[in-house]
Amino acid sequence: MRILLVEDDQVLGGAIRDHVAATGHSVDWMKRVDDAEAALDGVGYELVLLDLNLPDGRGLDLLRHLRARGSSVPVIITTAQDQIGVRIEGLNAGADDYLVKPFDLSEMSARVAAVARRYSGNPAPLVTVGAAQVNLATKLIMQGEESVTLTQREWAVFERLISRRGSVVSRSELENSLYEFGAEIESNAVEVYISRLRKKLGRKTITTQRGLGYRVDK
Amino acid sequence: MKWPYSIALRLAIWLSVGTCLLWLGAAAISTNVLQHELAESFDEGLRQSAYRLLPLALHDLWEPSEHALPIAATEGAAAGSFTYLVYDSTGKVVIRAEDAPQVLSSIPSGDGFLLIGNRRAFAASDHRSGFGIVVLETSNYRGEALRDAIGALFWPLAGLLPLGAAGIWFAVRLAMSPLERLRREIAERGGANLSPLSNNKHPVELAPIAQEVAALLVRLKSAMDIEREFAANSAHELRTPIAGALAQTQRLAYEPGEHPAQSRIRDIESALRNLSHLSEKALATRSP
Repeated sequence: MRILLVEDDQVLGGAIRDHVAATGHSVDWMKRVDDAEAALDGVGYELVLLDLNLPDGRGLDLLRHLRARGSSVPVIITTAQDQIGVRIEGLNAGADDYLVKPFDLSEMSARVAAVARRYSGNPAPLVTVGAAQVNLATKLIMQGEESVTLTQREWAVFERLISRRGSVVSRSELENSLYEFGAEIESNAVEVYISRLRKKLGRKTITTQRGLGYRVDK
Repeated sequence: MKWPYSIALRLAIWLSVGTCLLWLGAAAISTNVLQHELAESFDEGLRQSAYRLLPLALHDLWEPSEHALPIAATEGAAAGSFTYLVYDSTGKVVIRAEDAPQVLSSIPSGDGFLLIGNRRAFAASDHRSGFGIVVLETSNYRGEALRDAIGALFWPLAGLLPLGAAGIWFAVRLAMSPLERLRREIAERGGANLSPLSNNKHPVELAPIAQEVAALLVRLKSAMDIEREFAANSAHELRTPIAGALAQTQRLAYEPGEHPAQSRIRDIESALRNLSHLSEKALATRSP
């Protein structure tokens, strides 16, 4: 997934960014409201991790603005404020979940995955793709008795395809999932990862829709 | 039953007791005056009777007729309140009404009041003939009149006292109603409600208290707002760096491979979690 992290604290933001990236997602990290708004305008993020106290404004205002524009991107609030009133205000403003600092990074990952699954229309962590059983929570893929190991980028592409099972995912969308801002995109990167996935999971697992993109059947 | 400590109740009780004592005092003075006036009035009746009867009695003595006893009967019986006897210069009773004493223990020294037995009497004498008359009260009209007068003064008190107490209670409650309103308003205030007091016009006795309470509420609200703001800022100021340190430590722990620093990283993570719990406790004690 491509995730936007909005956090002004250098130490915490760095750790979150590294952890989210280590779990196979591409992360863009913004430290100000205006930078985050600009990023949201230009990129179709699949999830936003949003701090509330930012140097140039409130994260809640950014969230309200986002929802007012009709965006349905999942948003998880991360904040040091634990008052019930603030939580309710955040959830009423359109947040999907709420994490109070300090939180465990593995809990954050689990919540990110849970929110993403809910948005994909299948909240169950177990998905069957062809002959493979995919556990989205643990990122474990079993083909019969054998487990299949994917790299972070392979997983990022595969997860994106699974989240839209039955629909075609465009090449640019898959590129979006792979690279954050500033990263160098190789022209055939998507094709390379699709090819590797087919080798590991079977050729028929991913179908190419020529000129449109790729699809994993239901 | 233990009475509640109530200003209204105490005021009502003391005002009722005060009114009762005032009434009793006034009644006692009135009784005293009345007794004096009644005594004068009855004495005047005795004196006038004596001076009116003496010539008639002397006339009967000098010119005896069948009217001797009827005088007594007419005057004494008609009045029903006194009797008389006529004595000569030696003290011998020469005329007496039916219920008059038969003898005089001593000859009155002159005109004036005296007590015969325990009865009030008036003695008058004729200096030329030496005869005298003593008119005595036979009834207790004097005492009865006094008792009636005292009763007329005190019985209404017994009846009016409860009514007066109820009236005083009502008046006190009415007078204390602004205090009750102010009490209710203050009682409604608390941690969740520090809104200003209403702008009701308070009596001059209460206005300074209401003003002080209103000012106190403003100061309290301001202090609590500062407290809340401090707690919220403290939460942010404390939790964010702890969260950052904890997250970075967890990232280090995720580094692959087992190396000597791993156990230290776990120790640091444990210490940071303890610090986090301590800061949560500290924040909880400051939360409004």
